Amino acid sequence: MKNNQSRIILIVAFIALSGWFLFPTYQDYNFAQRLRAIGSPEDSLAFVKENRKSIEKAQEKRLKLGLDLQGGIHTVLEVDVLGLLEAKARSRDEAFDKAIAVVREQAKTSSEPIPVLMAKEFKRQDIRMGRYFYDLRDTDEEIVKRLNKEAEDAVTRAKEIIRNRVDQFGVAEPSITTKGGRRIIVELPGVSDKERVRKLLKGTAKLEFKLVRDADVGFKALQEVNKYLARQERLKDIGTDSASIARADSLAALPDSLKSQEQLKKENPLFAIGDSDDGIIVDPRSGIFYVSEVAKPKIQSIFSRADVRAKMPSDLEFLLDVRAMETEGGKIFRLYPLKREAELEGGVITDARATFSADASRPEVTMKMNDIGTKTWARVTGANIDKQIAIVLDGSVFSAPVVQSKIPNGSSVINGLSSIEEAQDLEIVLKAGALPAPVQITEERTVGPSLGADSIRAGLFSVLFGFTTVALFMIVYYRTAGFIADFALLFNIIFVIAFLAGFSATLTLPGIAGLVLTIGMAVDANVLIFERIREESSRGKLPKLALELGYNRAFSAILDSHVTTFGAAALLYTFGIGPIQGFAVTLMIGIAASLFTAIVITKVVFDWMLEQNKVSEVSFG
Amino acid sequence: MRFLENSNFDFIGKRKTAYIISVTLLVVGLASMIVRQFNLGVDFKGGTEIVVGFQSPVDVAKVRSAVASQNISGQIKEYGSPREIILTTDFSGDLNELQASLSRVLTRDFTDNPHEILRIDAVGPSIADDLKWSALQAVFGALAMILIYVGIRFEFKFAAAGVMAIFHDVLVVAGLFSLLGGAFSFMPLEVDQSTIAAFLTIVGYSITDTVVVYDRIRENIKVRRNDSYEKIFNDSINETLSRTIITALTTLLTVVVLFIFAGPTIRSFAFGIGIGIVIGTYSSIFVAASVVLDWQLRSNAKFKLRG
Repeated sequence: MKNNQSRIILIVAFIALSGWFLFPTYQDYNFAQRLRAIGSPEDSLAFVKENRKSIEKAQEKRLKLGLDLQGGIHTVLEVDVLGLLEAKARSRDEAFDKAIAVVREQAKTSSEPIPVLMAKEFKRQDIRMGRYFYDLRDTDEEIVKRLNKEAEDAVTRAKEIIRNRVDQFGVAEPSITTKGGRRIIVELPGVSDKERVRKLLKGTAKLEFKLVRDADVGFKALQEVNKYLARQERLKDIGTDSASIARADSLAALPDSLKSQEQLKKENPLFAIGDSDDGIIVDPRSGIFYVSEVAKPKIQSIFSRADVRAKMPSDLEFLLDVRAMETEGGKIFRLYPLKREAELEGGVITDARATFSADASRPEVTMKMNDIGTKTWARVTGANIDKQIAIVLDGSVFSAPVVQSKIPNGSSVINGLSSIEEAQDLEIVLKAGALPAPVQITEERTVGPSLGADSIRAGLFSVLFGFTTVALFMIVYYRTAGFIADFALLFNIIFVIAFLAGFSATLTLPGIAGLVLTIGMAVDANVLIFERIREESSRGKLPKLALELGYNRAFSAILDSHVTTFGAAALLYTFGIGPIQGFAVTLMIGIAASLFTAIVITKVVFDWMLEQNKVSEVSFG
Repeated sequence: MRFLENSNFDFIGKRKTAYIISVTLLVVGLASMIVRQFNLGVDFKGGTEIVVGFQSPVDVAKVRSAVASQNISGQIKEYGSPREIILTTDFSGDLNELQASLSRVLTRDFTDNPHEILRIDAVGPSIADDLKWSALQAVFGALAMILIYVGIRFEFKFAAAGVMAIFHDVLVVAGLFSLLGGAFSFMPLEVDQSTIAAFLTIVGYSITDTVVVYDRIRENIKVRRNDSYEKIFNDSINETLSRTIITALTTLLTVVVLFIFAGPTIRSFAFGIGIGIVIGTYSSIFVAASVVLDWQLRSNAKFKLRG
C-alpha cells in the first residue's frame, strides 16, 4: 500500500486545491445572497463598505461567466488609420484621393498595415510618397516606417482613451485589448444599453470652435459649386464634343425665367428647386441654408469630394447642425458656412460637467479651459462680439451662439442636447479626450440578459442530464466498477470547474458544451480499463492480477488517445476566439483531469476494496 | 451486463464493401460542397444577424412585411422556436440605426406581443476573412500534429491512414452540412466558428477511436508472430469492439442531451458531433486499420513499430 499512500496524498492535494480555487466563487455567491436579503439600500451600502475588501477579492477570483452567459457586448473597433494618415497629407489632389480610395477597398479585407498598402498602391501608380508626406527627399521606406510608428501610437492612444471612457461609464470588469495593429477589442459584461455604448465608443469627440461666416460669402461659394456641378452634369449628358458643349453652355446662359422647371433642376444640382427637397434650401428672407433629411447624404458626399473642395475658397467649409428642425415638409437640418480653420480645439478642455441650463429646463455641458485656452478664448470672443461662433463636435454643429461679450474666464457651454444621458455621455467623452482618429465598429456580438439566463439554465440542465444518463449507463453495464467510475467522473467535473476558476478562464456556453462532451469522453478511459480487466479475467486470471494487467495494458491506448485529443483542443484554443476558446479550455482541462480521475482515483478505490476482499469478477458486471 | 463479448466479425474481409460505401459518401459530400457549397454563417461570410424573441408565437410572414415596410433589407426566418425570429442582413458600421428602426416597427406592429432583441452578431468583412484563415490553420494544424504524433508512437503508415480516416470523417460531416444547410428551422447547420469547433472535436474523437484499435494491433503483432496480418488486424478490431461501441454510446448520450436542451446554435454543433461520432466509429472499425493493412500487403518491408 506504500504506492497508494502517495496517490492518496496526491488526491487529497488536488481536492484541497479545487476547494481553494472554488472558495471565492462560493464566497461571491454568498455575498450576493446576503446582499439580496438586506432590505434597505442604506444597510446594503453599509454592508458593502464593511466587506469591500473581501467582496472585491472574491469577485476577482471567482469563476467568471462569458458574455454569452451573463449578457453583454463584445465589440471590435477598427481605428481608421487611413483616415488619420489621409488627414496628415499635404497638398492632396485627385490622384491622391484615387489612390486612397483603392487602399480603402483593400484595407477592408487585408490585414496588412495601412502604410504598407499605401506604399504599394502609390508605387503602382508611380507616385512618390514624399510628395504628400514629411519631406520631399525622404524615401518611401523611411516614410512607411514613420507612418507605421504614427499609426501604432494612434491605436495605443485610442485604446487608452476608450479605457477612460469605459471606466467613467462605470462597467464592472471591462476588458480592452488591441489586436493586429489597428483593432481594439472591447468587452463589456452586463451592459444592455447598446445604442448608448456604441455612441460612447465610436464618437471621436473632436471638439472645435469655429467662426460662422456671413451668409452671402456662403451663398457665393455655393453658387460656384452649383455651376461647376451643373457643367459636369452637362458634360456627362452630351459627351466631350466641343460643339455640343458650346450649344449647351449657351442654352444655360439664358435667363432663368425662360427655362422649364425640368431644366432648372438640371442646372441647379446643388439647390432645391421649387417645392422639391433634394438639395440645399435657401431661406430668401434670412439667407440661412437648410438641408432636408432626404438630401443629407447627397449633400455630405458632394462636400467631401476633392474636386468640389477645390472650387470653394480655401478657408470656407459647410457643416450641418446635429439636430433636425421639424417643419411641415419633414425634418430639415441647418447648414452653416464656417471658417475652415478652428479658432480653438478640444485639447484645451480641462473639465466638463453635465448640468441643466439656468432655467433648469434643458440639459447642457459646461466646460473649463486651461490657461492657453482661456487666453485664446478671451481674444477670440473679444474680437467677435455680436458674431456667431459654432461649437462643432465630430463634424456636426451642436450650437452656434452669438457672442455677447468677451469671455475672460475660459468657460463655455454646449447646449441643444436632447437628454441628460446625452449630456452625461458628452461629459465623459470630453473629459477622456478626443480619439486621434475615427473608429469604426467592425464586429459586434451582443447578448441580451434574458438570453444569457436562458443559456445558463439550458447549460446546467445539459450537464445534469448528461451526467445522470452516463452515470446510470455505467452502473447498469459495469455494476460496482461503474459506480466507482461515476465517482471519478464526479471529481472530473469538479476539477474542470475548479481549474477554470483557478486559471481565471471564463465559462461560456460552448464551454458548458465542452463539459458535457467531456462527461461522455472521460469515461472512455475507464471503459478501456474495465474492458481489458474483463478480458483478462475471462482468460482465467485472478481478480487481483486481472486488475493490475487491465490498468497496465490499457494505459498506452489511453495516453495516446488523450494526447491527440488534447492537441486538437490546444489548437482550437490558439486559433479560436472568445466563446470557442472557452470550449477548448474546458475540453483540455477535462481531458487532463480524466487521466487523473479515471486512472489514479479509481485505482486507489479498487486497491482498497481488494484489501477488504471485496473485488470479485461480479464487480465488473 | 455485456454485449459483443468474444465477437468474431469478419471486418477485414468486408473492407472492399466498406471502401465502396466510404467513397460513395465522400463523392456525394464533395459534389454537394462543390455544387451547393456551404451555408456560411456570419462569422465567415460577414454580415449582421439579429435574433428577436417575442412573448408569444409570431407569424413570420407578418414580421417580414412589417420589416420590409421600413426599408430594412435582409432575410427573416424562424429561429429555433416559433417565438423567435432571425434577421440576416449585410454588415454596416451603423448598427444603431438598424436596431432603432427594427425596434420601432416591431413595437408599432406587434403592440400586444412585446419583443426583445436577444442577440446581435455583426461581423465586418475583414474580421470574417481573419476568422476563415484561423479556422483553416486550426484544422490543418491539428491534422499535421496528429500525423507527427502517431508517426512517432506507431509508424508512418498508421499515422497516414489515421489522418486519412480523420479526413474521411470530417469530409462526410462537412458534406452533410453542405447538403442539409438551411433545410431545418430548428438548427441552421451553418458553417461558423462553432462548426469548426465541432469539426475539431470530431478530429479528436476520430483519432482516439482509431488509436485504440492501432494500440491493440501493435500489441498483437508483438505477441502473435505466427499469425497473418489479416487475422491479427481483424482480431484486434474485434477485441476492442465492445469498448469502441460503449464509448460511442456514452458520448452520443451526452450529445443527444445537448441537442435537445441547448439552443439552435449549439444544436447544429451537437448534430455535427453526433454524426461525427457515428462516422468516426464506423471508420475506425472498417476503414482506418484496413487501409494500413492494404498498404502493408503492397509493400515489402515489415512493420517497425515503436511504443
